[in-house]
Amino acid sequence: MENDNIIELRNVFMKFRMASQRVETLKEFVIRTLKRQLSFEDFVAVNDVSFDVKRGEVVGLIGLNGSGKSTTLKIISGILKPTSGEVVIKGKISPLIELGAGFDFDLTARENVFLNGAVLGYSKKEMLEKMDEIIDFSELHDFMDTPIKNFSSGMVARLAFAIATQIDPEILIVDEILGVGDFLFQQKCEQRINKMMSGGTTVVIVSHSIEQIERLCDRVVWLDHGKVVMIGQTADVCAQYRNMASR
Amino acid sequence: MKKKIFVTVLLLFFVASLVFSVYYPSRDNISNIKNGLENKKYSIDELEFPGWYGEDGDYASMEDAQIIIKDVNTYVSSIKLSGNYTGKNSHVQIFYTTKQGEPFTPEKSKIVSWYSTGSRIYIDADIEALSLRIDLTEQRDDELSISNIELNDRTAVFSINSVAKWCVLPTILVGIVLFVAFYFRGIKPYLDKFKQYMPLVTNLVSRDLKVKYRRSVLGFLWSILNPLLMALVIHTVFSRLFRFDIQYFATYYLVGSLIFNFVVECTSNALGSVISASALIKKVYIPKYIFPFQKCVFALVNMLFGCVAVIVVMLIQGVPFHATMLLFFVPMCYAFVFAYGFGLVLAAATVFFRDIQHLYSVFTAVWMYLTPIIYPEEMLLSNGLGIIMKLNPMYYYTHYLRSVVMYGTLPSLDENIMCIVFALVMLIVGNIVFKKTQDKFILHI
Repeated sequence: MENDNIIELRNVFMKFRMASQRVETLKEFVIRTLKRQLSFEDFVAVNDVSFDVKRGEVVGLIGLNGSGKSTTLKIISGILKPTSGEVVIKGKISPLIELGAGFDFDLTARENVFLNGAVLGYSKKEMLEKMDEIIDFSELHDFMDTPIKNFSSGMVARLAFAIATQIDPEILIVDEILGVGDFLFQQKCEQRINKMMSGGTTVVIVSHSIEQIERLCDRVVWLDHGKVVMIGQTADVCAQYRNMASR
Repeated sequence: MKKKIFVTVLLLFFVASLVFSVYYPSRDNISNIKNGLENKKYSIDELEFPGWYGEDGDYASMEDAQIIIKDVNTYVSSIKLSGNYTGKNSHVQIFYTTKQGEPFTPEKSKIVSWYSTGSRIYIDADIEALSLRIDLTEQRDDELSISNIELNDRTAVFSINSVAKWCVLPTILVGIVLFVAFYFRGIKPYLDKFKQYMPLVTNLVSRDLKVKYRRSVLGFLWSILNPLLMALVIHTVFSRLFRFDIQYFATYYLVGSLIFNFVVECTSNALGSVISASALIKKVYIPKYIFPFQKCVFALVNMLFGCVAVIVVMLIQGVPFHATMLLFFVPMCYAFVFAYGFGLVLAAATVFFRDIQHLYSVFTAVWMYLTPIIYPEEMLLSNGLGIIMKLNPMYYYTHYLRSVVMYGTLPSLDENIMCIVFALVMLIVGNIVFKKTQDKFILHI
């Protein structure tokens, strides 16, 4: 049987070891070890999470603050390695965890396009081909040779979003970033995501806006305190979630 | 298409190094010297000229190497042979005559044998000699290279440099490893990933270069001027205040410091590379070794600027250029691998313990004084610190670069092996440490 899962998470645990007082230097480490003051506490951020995402699917992650949504996204995008469990990713990922990751604010917008592309693993040549589309989408025609330290946060966000979506990733990871920019740009972003979805891109979204999730997602995973509460069709899960919230 | 070019270049490289290694030792000019020496009479005072042979940068194998010094006519308490020699079970035999017309006989001879690598052979002669013959014939299956012979502290500079037959072997080995790596399936995914992130490395390096030079008027020129000025200072200080018996001292210093500073720059930049990339590591997946690697590449670029400074100083001091200079990249490659491995360890350690930064700067200072950079190598040996020298990888890299650039000698197989062993061991250790700890980086940065 053909397996068209592009993302697979199997019994993923993520434990953070929280030293009650953080030891940052060798000197401190030696002193504390000698005094036997070294103690750790484990904090489980993701607790036995398993789910699959099929190729071309749009999946939303919902849950209250501290429910492990962002940690799960970071595990999917490879930033964090789970303490135990298995993660299988079969495609190129473009993470939009935080806008402007990998930007150097002293460089111009154009240089940053290459830098950011390189961060995501694309060569200068590939980025050059996409340059026009990126400029068009971000609407920064006149500012491409300005150092981005002079940009407004909205401009930076537009540039970052343009790069992340124009490189045609197989998987797009979006964390709470659709709230940036003006009303028109937000619409444009959603249109872009819709277009990518119809083009077969797999999208994983984290958002607190249930409306947005309902508009965009095929399926939803509801997390609470690191555990999966419910996985299912968007309508079902969102209804339940609203129910819980109103209670 | 690219593959074909790569393979062709590699094959050409093999053939070239094979030809090189076969051709070089065969230039046997030793007989010329012998004749030249025997036909002329030299007093010890007359020996103070640069090279009986070797002025034109010629090399020869050591077979039948004899140095005859007539009209010594004095009491010889000791003979010092200094230079670079490596040898397994090698010995030097000193013949001497006391009467006019007396042939050299084994009865009137002294043998000194040794079983190690070093840079000075001390022969306790205690003879009244009319003429001397120094035979370097007895050494077997390895090579001997002596650039300096002293008789009772009066220096006669010889440039008898033998060439190790297998000196190019390591380069061939590296080529084969590359070749296999290129075709070996098992590591292909890693190589692919590495290749995928190469643009990031070049991007980060060019960013570092821009940041470094953007705010200075002379820009890239500083990378050349800085070592030049440093060499000037060192030259002034050491030719006036502390005098060492080193020919072309400024070049000696500059070549040594070039590769030493390269390693220090690599490691100390790599040390903080992961921490300073925290913004990126927290948000995007990037293979984390890219950061220390990129810092090493950056240092490599800076060192290449420094090479220009070395050439300038060599021209000013009139240091003869040798064909072996073209091999300057060999010790640099060794040092790069070593520095990268060490950088991995430091980068990983610094994530957990920030104060390693301060400890390391002390460490490098100590390291510099234990490496023969501003003083001659013999100084460590004669002070009983030879063991430190032999355990210090930087000694081998500085020595190697000086050999090929200044002295026109090719380091022996042993020396090459030492360089490779240090580099590979460091690389493996670095990779293990880094790999074991890299998943925890994000929790500490």
